[in-house]
Formats: sequence, C-alpha cells, structure tokens
Amino acid sequence: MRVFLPWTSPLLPAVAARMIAECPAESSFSRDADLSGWLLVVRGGSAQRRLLAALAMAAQRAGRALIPPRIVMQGSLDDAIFASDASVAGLLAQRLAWTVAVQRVEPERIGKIWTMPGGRGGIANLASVLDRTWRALSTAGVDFTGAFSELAKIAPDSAEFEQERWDSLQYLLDEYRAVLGEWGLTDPSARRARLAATSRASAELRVALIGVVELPPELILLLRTVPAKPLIFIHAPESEADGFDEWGRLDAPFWAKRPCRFSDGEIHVVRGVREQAARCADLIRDWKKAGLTGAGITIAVPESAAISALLGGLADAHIEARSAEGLSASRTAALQLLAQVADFLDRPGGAPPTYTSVAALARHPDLAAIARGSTGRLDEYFNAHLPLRIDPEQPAPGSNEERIAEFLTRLKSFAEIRNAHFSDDVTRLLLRIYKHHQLPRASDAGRALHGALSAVRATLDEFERLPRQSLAELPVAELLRILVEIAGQTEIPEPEQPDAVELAGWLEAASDDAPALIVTSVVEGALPEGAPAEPLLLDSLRERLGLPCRASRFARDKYTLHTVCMSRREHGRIALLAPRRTAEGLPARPSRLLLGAQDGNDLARRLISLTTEPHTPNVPIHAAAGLVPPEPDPEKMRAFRTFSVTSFRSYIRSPRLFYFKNILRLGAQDDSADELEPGPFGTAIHAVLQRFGEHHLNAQGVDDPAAIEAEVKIFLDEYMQREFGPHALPPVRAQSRALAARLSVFAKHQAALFAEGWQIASVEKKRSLVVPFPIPGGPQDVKLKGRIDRIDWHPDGKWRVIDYKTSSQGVTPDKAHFGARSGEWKDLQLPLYVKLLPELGDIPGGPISSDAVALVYFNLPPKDEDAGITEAFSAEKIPVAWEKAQQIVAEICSGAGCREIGEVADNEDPAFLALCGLNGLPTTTEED
Amino acid sequence: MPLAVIRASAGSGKTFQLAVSFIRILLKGELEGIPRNPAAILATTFTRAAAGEILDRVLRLLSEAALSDERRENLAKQIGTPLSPQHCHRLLANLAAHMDRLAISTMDAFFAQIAKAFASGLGLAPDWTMAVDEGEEELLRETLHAILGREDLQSVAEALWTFRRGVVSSMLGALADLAPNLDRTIAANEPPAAFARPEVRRWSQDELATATKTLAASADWIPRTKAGTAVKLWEDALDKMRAALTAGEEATALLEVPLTLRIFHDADYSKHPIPSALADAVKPLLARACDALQRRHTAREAALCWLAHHYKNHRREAAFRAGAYTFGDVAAMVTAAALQCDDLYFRLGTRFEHVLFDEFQDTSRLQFHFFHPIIEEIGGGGGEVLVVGDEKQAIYGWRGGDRELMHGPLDDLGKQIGSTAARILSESFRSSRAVLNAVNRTFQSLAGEWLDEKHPDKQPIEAAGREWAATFPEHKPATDVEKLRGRVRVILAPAGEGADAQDKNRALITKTLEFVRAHLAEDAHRKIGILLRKKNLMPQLIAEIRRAHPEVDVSGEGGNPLTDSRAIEVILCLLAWLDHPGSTAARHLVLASPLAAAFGFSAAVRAENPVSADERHALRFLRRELLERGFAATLRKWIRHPAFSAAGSDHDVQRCEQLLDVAREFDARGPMRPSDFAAHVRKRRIERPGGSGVRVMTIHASKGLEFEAVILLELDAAQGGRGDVILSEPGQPPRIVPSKKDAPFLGMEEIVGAQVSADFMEELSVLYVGMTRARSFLDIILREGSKAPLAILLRCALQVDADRVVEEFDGLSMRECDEAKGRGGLKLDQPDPGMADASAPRSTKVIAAFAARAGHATPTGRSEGGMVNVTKILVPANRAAMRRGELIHAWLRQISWIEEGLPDAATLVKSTADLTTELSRAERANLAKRLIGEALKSGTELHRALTKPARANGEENILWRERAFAVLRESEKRLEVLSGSFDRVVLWRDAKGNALRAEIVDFKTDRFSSAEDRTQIEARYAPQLAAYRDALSVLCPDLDQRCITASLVFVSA
Ligand code: SF4
Repeated sequence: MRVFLPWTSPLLPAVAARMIAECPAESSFSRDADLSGWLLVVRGGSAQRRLLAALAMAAQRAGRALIPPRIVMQGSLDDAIFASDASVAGLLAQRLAWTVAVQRVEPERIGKIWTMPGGRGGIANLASVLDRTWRALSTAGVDFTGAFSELAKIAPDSAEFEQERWDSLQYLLDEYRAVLGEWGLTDPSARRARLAATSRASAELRVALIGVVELPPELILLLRTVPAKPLIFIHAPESEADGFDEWGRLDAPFWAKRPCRFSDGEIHVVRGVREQAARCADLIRDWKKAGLTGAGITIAVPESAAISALLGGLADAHIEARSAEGLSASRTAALQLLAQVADFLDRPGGAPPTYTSVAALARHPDLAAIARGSTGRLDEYFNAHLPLRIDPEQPAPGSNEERIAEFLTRLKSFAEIRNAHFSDDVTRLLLRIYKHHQLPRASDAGRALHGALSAVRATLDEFERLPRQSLAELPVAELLRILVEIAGQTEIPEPEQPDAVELAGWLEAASDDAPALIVTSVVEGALPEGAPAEPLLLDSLRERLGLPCRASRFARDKYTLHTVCMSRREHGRIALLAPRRTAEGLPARPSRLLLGAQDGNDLARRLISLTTEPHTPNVPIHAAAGLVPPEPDPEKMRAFRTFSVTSFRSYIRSPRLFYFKNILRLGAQDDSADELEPGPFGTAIHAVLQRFGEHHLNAQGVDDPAAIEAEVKIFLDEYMQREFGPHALPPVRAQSRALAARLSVFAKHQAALFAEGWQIASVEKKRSLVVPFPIPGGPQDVKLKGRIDRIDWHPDGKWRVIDYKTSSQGVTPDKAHFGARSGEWKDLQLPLYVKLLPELGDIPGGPISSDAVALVYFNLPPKDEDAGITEAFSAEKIPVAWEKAQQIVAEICSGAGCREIGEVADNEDPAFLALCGLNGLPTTTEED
Repeated sequence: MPLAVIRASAGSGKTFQLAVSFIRILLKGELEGIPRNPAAILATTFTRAAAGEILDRVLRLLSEAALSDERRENLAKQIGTPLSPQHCHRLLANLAAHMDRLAISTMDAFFAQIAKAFASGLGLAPDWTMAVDEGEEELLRETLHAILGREDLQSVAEALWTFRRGVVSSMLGALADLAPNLDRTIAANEPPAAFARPEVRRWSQDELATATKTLAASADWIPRTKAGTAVKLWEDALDKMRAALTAGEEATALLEVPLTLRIFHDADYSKHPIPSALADAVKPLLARACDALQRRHTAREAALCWLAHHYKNHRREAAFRAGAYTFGDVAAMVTAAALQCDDLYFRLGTRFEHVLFDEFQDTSRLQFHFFHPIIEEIGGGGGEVLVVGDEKQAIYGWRGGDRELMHGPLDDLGKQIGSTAARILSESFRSSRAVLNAVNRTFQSLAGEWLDEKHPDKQPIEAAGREWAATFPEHKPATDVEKLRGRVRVILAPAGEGADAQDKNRALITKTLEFVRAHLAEDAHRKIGILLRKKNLMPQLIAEIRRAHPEVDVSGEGGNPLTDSRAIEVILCLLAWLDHPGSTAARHLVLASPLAAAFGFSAAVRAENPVSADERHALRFLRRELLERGFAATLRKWIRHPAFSAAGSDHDVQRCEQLLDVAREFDARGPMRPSDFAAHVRKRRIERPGGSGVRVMTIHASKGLEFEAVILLELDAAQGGRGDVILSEPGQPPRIVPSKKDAPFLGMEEIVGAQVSADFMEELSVLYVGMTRARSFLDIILREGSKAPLAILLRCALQVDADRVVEEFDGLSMRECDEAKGRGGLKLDQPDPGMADASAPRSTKVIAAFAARAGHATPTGRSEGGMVNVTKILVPANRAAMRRGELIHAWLRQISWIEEGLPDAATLVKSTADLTTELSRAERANLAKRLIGEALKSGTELHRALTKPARANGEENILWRERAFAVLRESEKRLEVLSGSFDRVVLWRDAKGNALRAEIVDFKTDRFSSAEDRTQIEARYAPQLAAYRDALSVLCPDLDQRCITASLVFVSA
C-alpha cells in the first residue's frame, strides 16, 4: 500500500507519528506501542538513526512505551527478512574466490575479457573489477549470459564482437561459483534468488519502505516473499503519484520532466572549494544568530574531495563540525602496517624483500621497538649499496651492514606469516605490536586502533570460516593485501559531538532531516552525480537491466534535492552552493538541477548568474622579511682547528655553506638515488685504481694496455660484486659498463706511463695525512689533513703527485685552481698536498724533494682524447697558495669568517640552501 | 558545405567564433524544426580552462541575447540568420537538459574517456587512473629500470651507445633524455633481434697507400700564391687531411676535414680549384668514408628502433602494473587502435554529428588520423566540421603538433567532403595599433629578401619565411582597441669585445632590468610579461628583479614553487627530516627557527644540543600524526600555531594556505612518505592568488595570455639543443635528421633543408606569439650584432640600427580603453547571485516539525570507557566466551519462572541452532545442562532471579524478557536516544494498573576469581545499570524512579 506524506514537512517524523498512531494498543491496560514485528527499510544510516529518534519521540508524545521495530538499510534486506545464513559468502570470501577463479582460468580466456600485456601482473586488479561488476550485475537478477542477451538487443551490431567476452565472463562466473562451492559457500545473490523463488517469509512480518526510491529488481523479488503487503511511505503529495511505481520507486522520465524550482535566494554562486567553506561559515553564523544550534545544521557534501577543505574552513571560523563519514580504516596506522608487511612479504621466488618495503617498515611509528632507530642506518646502507632488494651477505662485524642484517632478522621473524596459519599469525603479529599500547578508548588514536583492529578481527573471522586449503592457492602477500582491502573498507565513526554541525555525503545528508541544510557542490557531475562508470557495464545496458544509470541518478538527485528544499522552505533553512570550480580546481558546469524549472528569460538569467565569476577581493601582499635564516656562531669558528685540503675550495665558493657543512658538520641524507651519482661513481674508480696501485707499488709495470685493462676489470667486478651484489637497482648494473669503459681509458694511458718508466711510489691510504699548519700571527695549533690519490716516481728523479679526476670533462690543475677571467683562487688542493708530503714517511726513492715534484691530474673522462696526465700546476704559485690558505684559516679562527654566502649550487640540498637564506628561487633545469 | 575553416590570428577572438559556430549549428536545427542534440557536437581544445571558457561563452552569448535586443542583434549578425528570443530560450533549454553530456572537452580528456570505455580491449589496466606529477615520473622510472634490468643488457648498451655515438656514464640518464623521442617514435611490433654495435670502420695502411703518397708529394701540386709560396689555408687543410688519413683512424674522420666537402662537390677551396692529383687520390677514400657514415647513420636508426620497441613494451607493462597512464600514453594507445566509429559511439553513448576543433595547428598527425574517419562520416552525413586554428601560432612542433595539417590534409579533406572558403580573422581585440604595426611590418617583410647573400641557409630560410608569410593577413585593431595607446621599442644589448656567453646574458639582464624599472616608473601597477625563449635565464632574472623591486610581486612560469616562503621551507625540511633522521642540516634549520614550537618541540630541544629522548619522542609523535591524520590536518595544526603568525610574513601565511590545498590533494591519493610530499611541493609551481605584477616565462608558456607590457628576450638564442630530430611517420621506420655537416655525404640535404625550413617556421611562430601577447607596450631586446635569422629579420623589418622606438601611438590607457568598451558584460537588473541574502525574513523560530539531531547511546556503550583492550579485540579465545554469553542470554530468554517449568537441554540447544558459534554441539548441550542445573540449584544468584517472587494482594507483576526499547531523553542538556534491550524486568502494578516498582536484572557471564575482582566488574557495569533505570523511568513515567532497582546476576555455567 502506498502512503503519500506531503513533502512540505520532513518525512521521518510524519512516518513515526503515523506508525505510532496506527499501532494498536493490545488492551487498554497496556500502553505498549509494540512495533517489534515491523521491519522498516530506509535509505541510509542517518535515516536509520533519525527514524528511531522520531519513533521514540512520537511514542513519548502519545504517552506510550515503544518496543522499537527493526530498522534496516535496503542492502541488508535478505538477512532481515530471513535469518542470516552462515554458508553465504561474505565480502572477503567473494573477493578471494574471484581471485582464485581468475588464477585458475587459462590466460587465453582471460585475454578475451581483458587484454593483458606482459603476463599476469594485473590479475589481482581484474579480480577486484569482476567482483565489483558481478555484485552490481547480480542485483539485476541476471548473470553474464542474461546480460549479454539484453546487450544484443540494444546493440545488435556489436553483439558479434562482444559475444566472446561475455561468454568468457560467464565461464569465469561459473568458475567463481565452483570455487565458493568447494569452500562450502554460496554467492549471496544465489541465495537471494533461491529465497525469492522458494521461500516465504514469516506471516507475522510486516515491512514498510520509507522513502526508498531506488530498489534493484532482485530486492523486489525478495519483498514479494513477504505475505503481508508492505507499507510504502512516499515523500510526496498524492498529486505526484505518477512519479512513483507500486514499490515507491521513482519513474525516471516523470522526474526528468517535472519542473523543480529553486529560487535565486537559495543559490549561492561561489568561486571554488575554499569559498564554499567560507560561505558555509557565513551562513551558519547567521543561522545561529537566528536561534539554530549546530545540532540542527547539516552540510551535504556530494564531492568527497571537498570534505577536508570544508572542515578546515569551518574550523578556521571556529565552528564546530564533524564528518559523518568517519575515518577510513585503511588510513589507520595498524592497517598501513599490514599493508607494508604485505609489501615486505612480496618476494617472488624467495627473493629478498625490497628496499622500499623495509624502509617503509623502519619508518612505521608503531614498529620503533623492532626498528630501533634503523631509519638513518638504512639510508646509509641505501646510499652505499643502492639496493633494489635488500640482503646484506656476510656483513663485517660491527659494520652498518651487520646492524641492517640484524634488523632484517628481527623483521623477518616479526613478519612471519604462514598460509596455513594465516589468521593466527596475523593476530600474533598485531598483538606483538599493539598489546602494550595504552590508549584511552575516547582518544582519536584509541578509536582508530580499536576500529582498525576490530575490522581486522572481523575479516580474520571470515578467513577462519574458509577451509584451510583454500588459502594455500594464493601467496601470503596477496592474502594480506586482500585482508587490508576488505578490512580497510570499514569506516570508523567520529565520536558524537553534541553541538557540531554535521558534514555528510549527499544521500546521507538528504535523509537526515535537520532543520537547516547546506548543499555544497551543486554542479554537474557532483549533483547530479555522474553516470556510474563500470568498465564492463555500459550505461545503456545498466538502464535496460534496471541498474543505477545516468537517467536514474538524475531522477533520484532531482527528486531528492526537491524534497529536501520543499521540506525546509516553510520551517527550516536551505542553501545551495554552486561553485565555479570543482574540488579539484577544474572548471565546473552548471548543474541541470538548478536549470530544470526555469524557462525563457528566467533560464537565461539563471545561466548568467551561474556562469558569472564571483568577485573575490585580492588582498595585496607585501613580501615582508618574515623569517631569517640562522647566523653563524663565532665561537664555533674559533674552536675549529683541523682543515682538510679539499675544504678550501668549499670555503672560497661559499664561506657560509662551509660553516654549516665543515664546522657544524651538518649533512643531508635521503634515499632517492637511482644510480651511482658522480661522487660514488668516482669513488668506485678511485677504489679500483687504488687496488691497482697497491698491486704495482714500486714495480716496473707492464706496458700492455690490454693486460692492465683485464686487471682493473677484475678489480671492478669484485668491487661491484662486493658493494652492490646481485640485488642492486638495475641502473647500477648498467653503470658498471660505463665504469669499465672509463677504466679501459685508464689502461691505455697507464700503459703509456709504464712504458715511459714511471713507477707508482705511493697510493691513497685509509688514514688521512695530518700535518701541523701554524698560522703566523694566529693560532699555532691548526692542522691540515688530506689524502693523496697517488704518487709516481721516475728513475730520473722526477716525482708526480697525482689526483684522479673522473668528471665528464678533463681539466688542467691551473684551470681548476684559478678563476677563468678573474684569476682569483678557486681551489688550493694540489699546492697544499706539498705540505702533506713529509707525513708520508719513507718512500722508496724518497724523500721527495719539493722542487722535483709536479702536481698533476690524471683525467679519466669518457672521451679518450681528453684523458691522461695533465700539465703540472704552476710551481711558482705553490707558496702563494699556502699564504692564501693561512689567510682563510686566520679569518675563520678569528670568528670573523663564514658570513658571506658566495656561490651555492642550485642542486645543493634544500636545507643547506635555506640555511644560506637562498630558498625560494626556482631552480630551473627542466626542459621545455 | 560541411567543412569550414577559420584562421584566427592572435587576439582575434577565436573562443567567440567557436561559441558562435556552436550556437549556429544548434540554431540551424531549430530553424529546420528538428532540434539538434547539443551533445552530438564534439568540440575539442587543448586546455581545460579553454574548454570551460567555450561552454561559458556559449551559455552567456545565448542568455544575453535572450535578455537584450542589442546583444541578440549582434549575435544574429555573427550567425548570419535572424534570431528571436524564443529561439534563444529553446536553445538554452536544450543545452541545459544536456549539460552533463556536452562534448566540449580537451583532446586529452576526450582520449581518456575513450580509453576508459575501451580499457578492456585496448589492454589498459583494470581501474586505471591518470598518472600525474610523481606518478608520471615513477612510470618513467619503472620503465627505464625494466629496460636496464633486461637479460640482454649488452644489447641495450650497444644500442644506446650506437645512438649516442659513444659511451655514456649514465645509461639511465641517457635513456631518460631519449624517452620523449622514444615515446614519439613509431616502432615495429615485431621484437627486434639482439643489437650489436657495428664495427668502427678504420683505415688500413694498404688502402691509404696512394693517398699518403700523393699527400706526401703535396709540394708538387699545392696551389701557390702569386709570390709562389704555398697557400697557407691549403697547407693547414692538408695537414688536417693527413691526420685524418692515417692507418687506424676512423674513416669518418675524413669527412670532418673542411677540404673534403669541397672535393666532394668538385668545388674550389679558398678560390683555388682542387688539383686533380688530390681529387683522384681522395675520391675513392671519400666514397668509403661516406659508406662508413651511411652505415653509422643506419645503425643509429636501427638502434633507435630497437630502443623504441623495448621502451614501449616495458612502458606498457609498467603502466599496467601500476594501473596508471599518462595522457600521452592514453592518446598513443587510443590513436594506435583502429576503433570503429559505431563501436565508439555506442560505448560513449553519443553519436557525434558535428565536430569543432580548436587550436587545430597543435594537433598531431596521429590525432588527425584518429579523427579522420569520424570527420569523414560526419561530413558524409551532412554534419558540420569546423576547424579553428592559426598556423602562425604553431609552436608545438616539438611536441608533435603539425602545422602542415592546416594546409594539405585540410585541403584534401575539404575536397573530399566539401568546404566553404576559409574565413580569416585578422582584427585584434587585444593589441594597440602600435603593436600591430610592428607585427605587420615584421612579418610582411618576409615576402622579400632580407638575409645576407652569404648566409649559409639563405635559401631554405627565406623560402620558409615566404611560405609562413603567405597566410599572414594584415592585422588591424578592432574598434574596441582602436584608441589603445602603444609603443614598440627594439633595444640592442651590447656585448663587448671577446664577450663570452655569460657576458652576453649579463648584458641582456641589465637591459631587461632597465626596462622593467622604466615601466614601473611610468605605472607602478603595470602588468609586465617578460618572455624568453628558454628557461635558463629565468631564475637569475627573477632574483634580480626581486632584488631591484622588492615591492613588486615577481613570479616565474606558472608561479613560483611555494618555497619562495621561508616558512614553507622550514615545514618541508621538517618533513624531510622526519623521514631521514640523518638530515642534520634540515634538523638544524627546523630547530633553529622560531617555528619549532609550532611542531611541538619543547624549548629544551635545540639545534645545538645533541639528540635527546624528548626530541626522538616528538619526532615519533609527528610521524604518527602524519600517518593517521594525513598531511592536511597535521599541517593545518602547525600553521595555525601562534608561532607561525608571530614569525611569518603575510606572504608566508598566504603560501601556507596554498600548501594546505596541496596537502588535501595528496591526502586523497593515500599514504605517502613525508619527504616525497616535500619533494613534490618543491617542484610544483603555484601562482599566488591575484597574479603577479611581473611574470617571467617562456614564450611557449605565455600562449593564451596577454600583458599590458611585454619584454621579449633571447629571440636570437641559438635554437636547437633539443638533440636529434626524429621523423616518425605511421607505417614507416623512424628517420634521424642528420647534422648539416653530415647531410651532403649521406645525400640527405633535402631532409636537412626541410628541417631548417620547418625549424625556422616554428621560430617565426614563436616570435609571432611573443609579439602578440602585448596589449600596449612591446620591448624587444636583441643581442647586438646577433646573426640569428630572427634578429636579422627584426632589424631589417623595423629598420633598427640602434636602440629606438619603432612604433608609437598615443591614446587611451588600457584601463580607460577597457572601461570604454565595457568588457564587464551585460548588466542585469538583478542582485548579484553570489551576494543574495539567504536569511531573508522567515519564521525565525525554526523547528516544530523538526527536531535537532539527537545523540545516540546504548547502555552497553556506557560501560565501554577506559583503555583499548587489544587482546580482547584480537584473541578469539575471548570470542568463545562471548558466544557462550550469547547462547546463555538466548536460553534465559526462554525461561519465565522456575515454577512454570524449565525447557530441557535438548530444546534449548535446538532453539539456537542457527546461531553461528565456535562451540561444538556437545559443548553446547553440556552448557545448556549446566545452565539448567544452576537455575535449579537453590542458593545460586540465578535461582533467586528466576524464582517467582511473593505477591501482595491485588498486586500483579508483569515480566519482560529481552524487551527492546528506544527512549528519547535529555542528557547533559541535549537530546539523546537511548536504545537497547532489557534482559529481564519485573514490573509491579497495583490492581488499578498503577506502577508500583520494578526490578531490572541484567545477566552477566563474566568469570571472576575473587570478591575484589567481582567488585571491579560490578563497578564497570554500574553506568550500564544506571542507563537501564533511566530508560525504564522514561517508559513508565508514572513510576517513581526510586522504586526501580537494577542488579547484575552472574551466571557461572
Ligand atoms: S617513544 Fe620510543 S623512540 Fe620515542 S623517546 Fe620514547 S623510547 Fe625513544
């Protein structure tokens, strides 16, 4: 029976009053209003709560003691009419069964449904699409074959082309059902179909549909099993009866045509999402002045992307607000932890875990007890070895590698999850982390934890109901991901806040009959909502099957917006916000809902106002100084005593950066490298050449380039194997070829040196050479330190101090030490080496006389022509360099240095740029 | 005639034209009495803003025409048919009804829509999304890693080195550079075989014998001066040739010797003919060298093919795995697929009947191929095809845009489906006549000869210029801007003797600063656009203008990154530090800043102190907040901290707001590492609201914008530097355009010439776009003595020998001019809709029919305070206890009074058969037996609770078992619905039915080990019992609250 309740007042109180009034009093003695035999079906969660309140209020007004009915949302109608059935597959079982079914079916058949490049990489995704598609389709009460025959009717031309796909879909569906069957489960839609066909609901059961304007065919069949005719409450005057069918469902063409008018005063054109928030705040302030409380105001948010901005804007206006959407469990620390564990366990063929997964776990705040501060050590490990997968083999005792290996061992034992004991192992893992967390239930963190763990528990319960062997078919990482996916769908409600304005999704908000309502984002695509996009179910097919489609959504939103406005015009407040931009900042189109009723000049006026950019005043901004970067501390400078020979170059370039880098010894660290950067690239060459040098120390070398090349390549291979191993990032593997190419350039030139009679007299030592460097008229305890790559000796008494240069272009010492035009010092490294020579101690052929020594570079750029030993640094400049160095040291040690910013490279770490006060200048190296 | 072409010069109002055409198509249907479906008009453009603008224009033109006779007449004139208000009304209604389906979109969005519809068939990942920002980079990274992870890495290296003509230190970097080219290269579908680098062809002693001998005897034939000495130039040339012709040397080195080319062409060298002895000796070698070069060139093309093939495959796989594609990927996949029109229309749900293309000159060949069948069908079916474009503004050749499409292909199309004569729009609604005069003079002079005879590319460049100018109409100011004042200056930036590139740039910057200063002196609010050819000078320019004019807002292309605020930098450093504790520089910056307090660091945590437990604790707290609450909420908390308003400038505050916008966007994408977020913010450019006074950007980025004053720089910058140009045509292997030097030896001069022409045409377009951005003032800064063709052209066309004003027109200022023509649009006599007063008088006292939102509570919920009990949630053992409780409750519900008899255990078990439970049947039977035993055993709590109480006379008791309730009550001054269910209530009434007293019993199945334990449990349940009492007192308003007792009954079974 259809009952029309006028839309000039809210629906739920009217329904409640009516239900109570019509509820027979069993005897004059009893004041009970017993509705326990009723099943009330509503549209959304907030309607569920509001209706219960309305019923309680109506009963109390009538002086009766309410025994409440069951109030359910339409989705759980089957379990409400019939008792729930343990053999029906839950969300998890369905999802798993699709995954298994897709795994089992041969790739050719899958390819008919979905073209898949490169193997089965996307199969998990496909399973989830099929799961979703099937759940949508099944509500229409047809399977894929049935759907295809409908498709063939609307598009006979493409039927031939599509047949194979739909046959394969049906094949997969059968496989899916078979999988469920093996597990002793049935698909919920199968159960509903069976119930509809064979069962009758209890004769006592009374059902009422309340404002339910959309019902899929499947549920109609189910409702037919109820012997007593359902009561259908329709929120519309009787005069609109043609707009609804016998079940109270909307007639889309009727509503598409019916004019629904919104007045100019109700529509607020605003610029974007921030302005929507500001307008909400203004309206609420006004309404509160008129006597409304926060509890009487609801904001409908059709664009979920706008929620965060709206909440932020209201908070800025000091308006208490709460989102009804709640926190998605997937955002909680606990579920993110499980997701990271899944990545950690994703190891095809027993490979070691990926670096990224380990780095993520090391950073998880709840894992501190296991990570024990491994984050920095991992960064260090990463930069030393550039791992794709992380697997320190035989680390040296006490080394960083060893600590990382220990961390991995702890992680592995922590994350051990076995298929056969999946549920127990996951529980154990969570208990280990969270058992000792002392969090009040009422705190944000406590609620998040409670909600997340409860969701996991519920999903694990579902796992436990599956037969054990069913889990053996999927890798543990996959199981864990599905667990996270399903449990993550749970929403953890925010705590109730007595006076808060409530933000809710569009349909939720519409079924909440708060006296004041702001509807945000009334633009095309948000309100009305766009057509549902399912890759396999076209809109025309959906329409034909009675599934939600473009037309039905438009009808639904138009009717709903109309009723929410109508019911508040007399006694409430309503505002519709029409932004010019979507929450993503894209141009928005005017909503059809605001245009429908207008015609003629009204429509023209409305369109002009909806397409007029609202004026937002520009606040002129004066770039005030604001923050200032920290100043160098003279005390720190005065205390600084040991200078490395290479650091003078840094000081000359930027005294201030020198202060932060060399005196405060600040550093930057990250793990974003993709391959050996120039520094480590050079280090690799240095390391190989050092070994080469050691092998040939003080010996007559072979002058055969091929032999030298072979030798250094062996060293290189060993070095690469030791430092990077088999699990390094792929580009590193490729780089070893470039390294080899550089070394073959070296071999050619080294052979020539040997041929000329040069011998290697000394190579870089592990320890730096340190010599006193007293400053005339300044501190006497200054030290100079440095390492010399190599020293060569020639039997005719000549010496060369050699520095390897691995940058891409060759350079001469003079060019590197003096500015091109200014002639100013750029670097002091080579001349200062001379100061270090005495510290070398006895060298065969030595001591080195400083007049016989030439300071040279051994250039090793990729181009052969530019490689080799350079001309020597101008000898007459050596003492001048020393003076310059003393001058710099004196400046620093007096506390007067380190002020000037000088030149800082754009690609310096941003923290250093900011310390030097250089942030904000865009660094443009991108291509156009 | 179906095809109509509009060639719309800059500023000539092409959006307006598109909108008018859109309306015309609709109106035609209206006039014919067959209303047309506006969704069947496909209109594509290149930016989302432009798409939005076209729709707005259509709606506004029609709406204004409906309301104003004058506007309607104007529109009617544009359309060419009379237009009644009723027409406007009907068209508007028609548009409104189809608002969601209107196919006005960007080309990218259109392809994405198709890709969504055809995902399964095209092989896009299920549920794919658009890869943007980092997603795009990640995709490239994954692709390159996959290539470098290939088994045949040797082949990858060989191919790459062959292409690059040498070893590279970073194959990753080299591939990344090459990627855009690989993307655009059309590769074969067949997997190519392993790639091997061809041997380098080197000279052998034998083959050089003749040449060596001849060269050794050069004294015999070397050209001599009148004085009889050997010509110096010849001597040098021969030395070079000798060096190139040594055994072991690469054969192609010969081709690098300048003399070789003259021999090749049988031309003179330094005015002396080539001695035949030399020619005879070298020519055979020359042929071999050419052959070697040819091989090398072919090998490079093969290498490119090889790389492109694998790149594409790996890219597809990487995208499929990630489920994310870039717009480029999507367009490539869609255009490569041969989709049937019918299938397309069916899946999109619309059959297109008309099509409008905006910015057609930027369309690529592939896109054109894709649209071809659609256009054909539309044309064949009597639909309209409108192409709006301007080949003069074709500056996206490097991105695949093909200016040629505006000619040959479009003409062919016209022949095929019929076309009307192209309309040429040359009236500018933007620029002052001074600017337009300069534009006219510059481009009209292309018709003549303007390059020096000696210019090496005179022929192709001048030819290109003529071709470009052939479609150049004289530009005139529209009435709107007729009186707009203007001035055009050309300035030569001096470059002193021996100046290097840096000096020259210095000179440019100095000049620019000078002109900026002059403009701002004339008008401090003037909007100035500084347009450059390339990006490299931008940072320096911005920095220096800022330093010189701290009061003016200066920004780069698309705005600056948010890091132009120091406060933002501190936040980003904090984020980086959170992720990387070893970043001590970031730590120092954060802790040394006055903002540290906002992040929750106590005063004891200081930069100079060693890391303390306090500090570690604060960091961990921050990390958790970011993880659980997301970026937006956490950053908002920091930014609203008083420390921020105390230390930050207005600018900081404004930038922080924008940071929150970015944070929101990222929260929606799911969890992400803080340092990744920080890295993104550093890269992203965000304009400050209100825009800047001075904007520095490339000419490419300025397209679609206008400025009161434009300063054009670097027009003479050497173009190129984009590496190899690769020609890729569908169905053909890719071709590499060789260097000019190599071209003759490869017989490819024609291709190179064509490329020179094409490049120059694009140069001209860039110049055109740059000049036409200006409304009033245009300053062009050229390097003094620049030999670049554009510089020569400008100097010649505008007759510049020194700095001078080349055009000037004294008229209205821009503001006066805009006001005069009323750019504001139609004034309606209705209140500003945005300002409408929504709280208009109405019943102030709301409600009546409404109730404010009530709270919801349950008695059980009341006892759920305290701490989260993780073990209880997670460990199933406790759930067995819960099940036990559920069963016991279900059974107790079936018992009224012991005196009235108890069901037996089997009945109880059977009654709960459908309750899911972990307990076995035997366990359940056992439990039921124990429960009955306990109930029967006198002395137990349960026994007492179930024993019928004595009754006084006339009293009657009513028993409720498992009775649900929902009551509305006021709690702490607000409404609350309290709902739940009583286990057992005994209600006493006297004979008249008045309630006397009530006893509430709540069964508990908790186990306890001591009296103390029990007291604790009872204390926990106390609020629950209180709630039951509250509920009952609402249900029985006549009952004195003091007469309600509530007690716990512990069942031990
Ligand atoms: S919470 Fe953990 S990491 Fe933080 S200070 Fe305490 S012990 Fe250290």
